[in-house]
Amino acid sequence: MVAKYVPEDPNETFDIMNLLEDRLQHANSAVVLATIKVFLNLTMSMADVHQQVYERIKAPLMTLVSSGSPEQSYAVLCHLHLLVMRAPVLFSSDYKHFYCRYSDPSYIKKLKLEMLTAVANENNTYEIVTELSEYAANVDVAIARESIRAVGKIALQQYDVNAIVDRLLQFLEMEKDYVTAETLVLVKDLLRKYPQWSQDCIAVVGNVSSKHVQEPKAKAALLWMLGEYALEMPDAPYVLEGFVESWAEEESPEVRLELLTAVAKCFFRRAPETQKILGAALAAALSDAHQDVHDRGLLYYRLLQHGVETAERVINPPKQAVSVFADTQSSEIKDRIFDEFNTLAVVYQQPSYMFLDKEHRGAFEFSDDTSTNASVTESSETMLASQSVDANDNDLLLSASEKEDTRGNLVSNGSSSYVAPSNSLIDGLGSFTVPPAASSLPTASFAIDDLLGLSLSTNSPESTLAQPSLVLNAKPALNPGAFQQKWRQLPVASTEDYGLSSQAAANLTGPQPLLKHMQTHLIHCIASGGQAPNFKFFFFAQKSNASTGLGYFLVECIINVTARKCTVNYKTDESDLLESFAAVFKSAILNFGV
Amino acid sequence: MISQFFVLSLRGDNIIFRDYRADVPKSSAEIFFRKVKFWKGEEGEEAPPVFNVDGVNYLHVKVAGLLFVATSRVNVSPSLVLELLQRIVRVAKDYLGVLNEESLRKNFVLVYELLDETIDFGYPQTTSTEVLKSYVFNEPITIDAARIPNLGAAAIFMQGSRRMPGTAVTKSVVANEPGGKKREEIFVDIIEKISVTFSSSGYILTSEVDGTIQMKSYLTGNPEIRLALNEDLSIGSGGGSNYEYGGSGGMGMVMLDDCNFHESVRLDDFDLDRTLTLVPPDGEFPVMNYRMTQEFKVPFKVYPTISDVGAFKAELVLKVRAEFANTITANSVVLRVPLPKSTTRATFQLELGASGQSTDFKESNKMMEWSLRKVTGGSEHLLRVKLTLSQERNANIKKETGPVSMNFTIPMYNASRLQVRYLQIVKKSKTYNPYRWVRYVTHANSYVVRL
Repeated sequence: MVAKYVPEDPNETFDIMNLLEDRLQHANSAVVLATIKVFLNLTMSMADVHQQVYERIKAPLMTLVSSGSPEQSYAVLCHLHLLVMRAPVLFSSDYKHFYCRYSDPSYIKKLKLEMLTAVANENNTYEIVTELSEYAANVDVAIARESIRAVGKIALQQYDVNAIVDRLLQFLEMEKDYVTAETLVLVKDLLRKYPQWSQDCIAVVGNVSSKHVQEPKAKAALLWMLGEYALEMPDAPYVLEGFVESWAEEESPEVRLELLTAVAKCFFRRAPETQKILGAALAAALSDAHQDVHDRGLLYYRLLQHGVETAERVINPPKQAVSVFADTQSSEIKDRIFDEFNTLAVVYQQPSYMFLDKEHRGAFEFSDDTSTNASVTESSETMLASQSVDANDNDLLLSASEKEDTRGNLVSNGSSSYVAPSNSLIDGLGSFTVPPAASSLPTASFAIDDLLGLSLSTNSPESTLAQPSLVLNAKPALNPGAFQQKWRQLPVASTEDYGLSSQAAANLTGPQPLLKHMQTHLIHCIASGGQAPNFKFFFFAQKSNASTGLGYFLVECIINVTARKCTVNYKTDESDLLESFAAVFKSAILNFGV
Repeated sequence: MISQFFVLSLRGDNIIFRDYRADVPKSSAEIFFRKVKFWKGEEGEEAPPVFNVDGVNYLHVKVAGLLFVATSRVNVSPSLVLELLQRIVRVAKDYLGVLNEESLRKNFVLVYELLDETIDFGYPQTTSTEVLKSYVFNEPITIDAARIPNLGAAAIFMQGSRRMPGTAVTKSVVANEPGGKKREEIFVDIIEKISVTFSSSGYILTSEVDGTIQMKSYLTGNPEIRLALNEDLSIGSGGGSNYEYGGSGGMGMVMLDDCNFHESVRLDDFDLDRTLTLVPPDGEFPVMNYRMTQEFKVPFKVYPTISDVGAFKAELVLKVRAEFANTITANSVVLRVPLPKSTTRATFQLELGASGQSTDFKESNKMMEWSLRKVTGGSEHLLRVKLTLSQERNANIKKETGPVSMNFTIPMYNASRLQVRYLQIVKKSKTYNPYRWVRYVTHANSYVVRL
């Protein structure tokens, strides 16, 4: 319960934390984890305290992991895992705690290995890798595999690659089937990232006899290397020949595809020796039952018919070293999981909506909170709909965003009449046609028509005359390239500072909530980034009815959550509308979180 | 909020089954068991304690060869449910004395009654034996402890059971003694599990002690108890945290990295003179858990060497030295060494006059085992193993052997030197003098020597 509470001021936060401090020493892991959740949520907006919390919770968590049954420590480790992923630096000195014990069940060992990978940095890599190499020699096959993979991951993180490559090559010499297999896959990935190591690796890989390699993935990796480094490996064509001869026995299509490509690559480099094998491989591929293999064979065949050079350009273009391997989990999902601290989401490493039935999400889901207000909202929606029957397409788009606003306002105002929705619409869309204190139905409909920019703007002359009215395009189109170009061309039209409400700051744990919020105000985001407490956003919006490429408003918005301040730089090619847009933007951003 | 609770035997039989919310199909026990038994991971992997099948979350705890499972459909806190399962296990143990399939089957009426009280509509109510006492009326049927095959050393290392074998601790907390008058007793066990990793050159790479002070009280009237620990105990030595408890660590002190306490413990005087004041609830509970990474004197040193003696032969020599005082005896010491894959035969050569030692070589997983029933402090033991290999020896023989792992139990010894100075029972009458037992045990958790 306390976890959801947002305290009024920092002092209150500290009061709560001091009260709960004792609970961290509790023997029940559920109590400790719940406490930690409160701590983390409370300090979300205070970066420095947040760090201290991490420091503080480290020791109790470690104790929980080592006391209690393996099942309990598994649950705790999962949470620790999440924290380690979020702040690897903080845990980097504790890497020894993540060493596997002989008696740990495999599910715990697996988690520990993942954490070891995460905490690796320049200072401890050597020791961690040494430890991991010990596991690789382990009798437990699954763990040996995992640890080799972990070594590879650390290598890809770019620390002390030299030593790691040596280690990996030692693995190859161990002559255990699964070790060799796993290592080959890794060496392949490493070579893609660090081509400069090819000399060393190839020398060793060349010695690996293909008999030891049984698994499809490892075979594919070996073949890739054979094809790619055919020049450095004297007997590459002959090894490939052996593979081609046993084509029929090869069960995995993946391997057959890789073999075909490898032979082709080898052919470009050492044509005289490979010509015969290539012929055999193509023939085998063309008669292959697997569709992909057949197609690739056919493609290569036709390419080669067209001309060897064209074929080479297609099959074997010069490669760039891969610098970043795709991350498996997006940061958005990680944030979601973090929001669901101390629930099953952490254990499965997926947010709750991915594993639960809809009906059972219940109270745990924030988005469902509004459902209680649905009936109220619905009635007002029908009301609004009836008012704007004659509205055009554009209006419909707008009404979608109206709902959001009316909902928000209805929730806060409860039973108040139609005034509330229309006012909020005006706030939201920033039209300057403020209606004269509307309290009855007709006036409300006025206001709506008004801000749609259709007619009746003269009804409230005091504001409309002063400023040309501004209506934003609901679906502006602007690609990042064009945005950048415009950003460079245009001068900064104005810079303003706004203070944010504490709720807004608390809500802003990641860029996503604000993006969604701004979108309801027809202000779109083109790029965002940053880590708490500092976020940076680039927004844009377009005047409706503007011709393509014109009428844009570009905004750079820098938010510091801790200081609850945001600095906004406006740029536009519609300078006369700038002020109205700035007001729209301001009201939008100040409404966030309210 | 859990939907179902059930207990399965390792063969998959339903021993206890209780549905609380009826939102999970009845066949869940079967689904669960199939999933656990044939976990789809890579070879040799166990199912994690928490997993999800078709939107149903299964959380389980394995205790004494039984699977305690809870199912849920909502996004519960995993540690809460696992903690609850663990508590149910403890309550059952308090009531039944011994927890195994037989005792559960014989007392299923009682167990169902307990379950109805502990969990209501899927929400945990109370898991304290004391509170339950007033709601539960069935008497436990004690099964004869002597008839249970004494698992001995093996039982100690089974997950979850961490107490010494002996009839005293296996009796039910609530059952009345046949003799009529209840014996007033209190047991305080200091149980430590040590994890040490030695490098091939004999250095200690990592060492850690995980300890618990376990208490089991058979006292009537729940008197207050004062438990005093070493005065030179310091907590939180581990680097630079802002919340340090004061007291800079010097040599000769017992320094714990961190500890946590049971909720009944009051820590008013703890900072002053290291005494814990508590009103022990009935049944068994951990008073304090602690963790120590400070260096300590290791109880055993193992010196393994492997050498080639011929083209198809190798010799492995294991030397074990007990480093503790000779008044103490270690029980059931077992050393396990995985041998190279190509090993076809292993012949063992024990020392002359060695008694109570046995050796074994398991062909299927190429594992050799050397067990010593008793090792007295200060003694040294030696084992020579001659290996016959099917392949010609290669340079990797060292890599394929090991690591040596060791299991042992040393009663009346604790590595951390944490001690109970006195155990005082605060009660008015002077004549009242219940039996007080303070025992120390050290187990090996992960004692590994690399080759």
